[in-house]
Amino acid sequence: MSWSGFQKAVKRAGTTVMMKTGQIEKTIDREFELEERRFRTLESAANKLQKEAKGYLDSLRAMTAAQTRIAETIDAFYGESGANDGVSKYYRTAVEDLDADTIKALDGPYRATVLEPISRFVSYFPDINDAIKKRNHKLLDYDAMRAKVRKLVDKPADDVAKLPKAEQDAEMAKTIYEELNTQLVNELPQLIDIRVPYLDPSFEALVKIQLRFCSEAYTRMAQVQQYLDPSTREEYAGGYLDTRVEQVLQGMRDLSITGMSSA
Amino acid sequence: MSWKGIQKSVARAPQSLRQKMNIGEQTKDAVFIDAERRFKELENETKKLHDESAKYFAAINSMLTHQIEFSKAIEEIYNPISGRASDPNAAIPEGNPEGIAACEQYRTIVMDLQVTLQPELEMLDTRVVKPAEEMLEIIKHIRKLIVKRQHKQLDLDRHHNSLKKLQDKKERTLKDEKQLYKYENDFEIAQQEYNYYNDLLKEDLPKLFQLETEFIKPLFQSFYYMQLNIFYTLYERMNANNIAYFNMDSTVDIETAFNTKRGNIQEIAEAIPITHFNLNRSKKKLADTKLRYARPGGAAGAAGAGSPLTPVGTGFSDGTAAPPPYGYGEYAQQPGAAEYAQQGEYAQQQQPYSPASYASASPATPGAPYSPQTPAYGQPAYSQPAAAAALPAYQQPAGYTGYPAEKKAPPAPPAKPASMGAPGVEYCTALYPYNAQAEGDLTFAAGDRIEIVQRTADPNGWWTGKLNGYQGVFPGNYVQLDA
Repeated sequence: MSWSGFQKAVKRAGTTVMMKTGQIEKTIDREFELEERRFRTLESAANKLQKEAKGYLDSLRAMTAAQTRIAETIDAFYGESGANDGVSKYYRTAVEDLDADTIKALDGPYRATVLEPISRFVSYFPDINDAIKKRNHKLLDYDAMRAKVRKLVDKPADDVAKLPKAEQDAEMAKTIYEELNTQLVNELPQLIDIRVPYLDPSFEALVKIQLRFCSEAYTRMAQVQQYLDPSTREEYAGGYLDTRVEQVLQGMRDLSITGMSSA
Repeated sequence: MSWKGIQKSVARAPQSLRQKMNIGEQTKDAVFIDAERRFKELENETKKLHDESAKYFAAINSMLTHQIEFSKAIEEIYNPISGRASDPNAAIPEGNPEGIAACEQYRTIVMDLQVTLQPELEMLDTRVVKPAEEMLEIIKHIRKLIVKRQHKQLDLDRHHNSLKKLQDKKERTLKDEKQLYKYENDFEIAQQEYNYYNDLLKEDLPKLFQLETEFIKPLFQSFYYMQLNIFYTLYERMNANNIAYFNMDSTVDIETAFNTKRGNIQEIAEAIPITHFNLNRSKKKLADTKLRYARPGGAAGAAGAGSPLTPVGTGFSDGTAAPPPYGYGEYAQQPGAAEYAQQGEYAQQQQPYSPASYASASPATPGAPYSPQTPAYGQPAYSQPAAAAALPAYQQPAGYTGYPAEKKAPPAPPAKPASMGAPGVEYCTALYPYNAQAEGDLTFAAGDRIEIVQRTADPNGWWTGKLNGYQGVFPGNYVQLDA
């Protein structure tokens, strides 16, 4: 903080205390407060939107990444065990393609149409918050000046020049405050008004990208099916595969090296 | 660890060390080593399979959750923002009711999806994650046995070593003979134990590998069909969504459609000054500052430069302004500049423009410690023989803080104050470009050589100079006097 900034902060802290104790009257601007509340609502909603948009992409990526690693593992198992019907290879390729092509092809549009516009919108908030902060500071300054004038009127000082000077200062503080306040009161609603046209297209894009992803994923997965024995589908549906897994596991337990056979 | 366990591990310690250092003879069983390698792979792969399928499960769930939360967030955006939550009648009719309806429809679909997929996902858990977990359990037991075999091998090698040592001894005492007998016994037992475990593992591990193949195949198939089902459900439900709100025309590229729908809303938003409050503010400050500079000689020289600058703000400290006009740090390094040391502090404050420094620079405040406007302190700083380019401190506007640190080489011999106002033509070289800010200003580029018509002792004042036949005023701190 600069020296003058520090001086101002100290002075304002004093004013705040005086306000709390009721020695300085606080200006209440209902119009501004309403707009500020509206802005806060917008801010929290937009921040949440940004978080969720990011979370969706992250979990999508996590899903395809996990899928790819599972495919790698299965392929490694297969390779080691010498079951060379090649299904695991096809499966692995399909999953890897899905990860590489689809995700990469959708990643860009998703960023361009969902993440970036939302982030851009959210990026206006710090500036606005600074403006609000500044407005509050200026209001404090103005209130302090006005209180000074009032005090001088109530209890005139010996120095006659003091009152006109204080009045002039108060007038200046008022001008500065009002300029900023008017700007905020005028411009905050403008931003709030355009939120829907600004953010709405992203929702549509998100839905489309989701659909595109699902359809790509399904198509690629379905391709692997041709390499599998058609009977396995029924086996899966009938829970036979499950039983099979359980049987094998029991077989493993029965090996004397596990020491579990008795259990 | 049990007491017995501790005893054993102490007894095995020397041999274990020897094994690590590869000293002495060690039992090696190639078949077992290979089997163990495969087992290790199996162990890793199973672990990976287990972890990744758990992650997969979590990712799909979180994906759906984020979809729902996203729709909730966008609904909040669509909702009218009244600012008076307690008073429902106060709502201004705005917002986006159609959008809200679409949100609700969308959410219904996704929630429905979540419900539909739940059994599928649970199946993933029971059919893939759980079996992998059990497999891991089995592997853990086998791992235990392998460790045991390892210990037995250590024992075997240990006893073998002791026995061999004694056997190789040329002259054995009676005691040695007794020991020998004991060692032979130990060795025999160790051999038997080792063989038992070794053979057991060698026999069963291949069986395990065989079972593993049988295990992974149905597991993979289950996983595949589950995945297929999940994707199919996702696709089908998402495709069936006929929310009229969205234009699902798939012939148009997503990004193109997005841009069409969006129009120039971003420009509109950014045209609202408040969205760039900080940027606008610093721009305004800069403009104000420039305005002040553009008043050369108007209020008569230094006095004019002093007073209007009092409320100088951060305009320059944000780096947008080009030159650092006042290098106070330079003063401090001048000989006999003790009374200016204070100015070094100004430089450290990163804000060489603090109002006080301006005030004191003007002759109107003779009370300031360095007010004597002798050319001696202003001059030397600028008359260093270095060429314009050789003054790095000046060339980096961002380098304010660098000044105090740069108490570099001893300053060049100070120029004679007598040179001030001396007859004859003086020249100076521009350190920075300067564009006329007002009528009567002299415009020049960095490096231009300007003939000085009139100048003040103070390098911060406005000087008059001639360049290419034009005569005009310019800030003295933009140039360096030629020696």
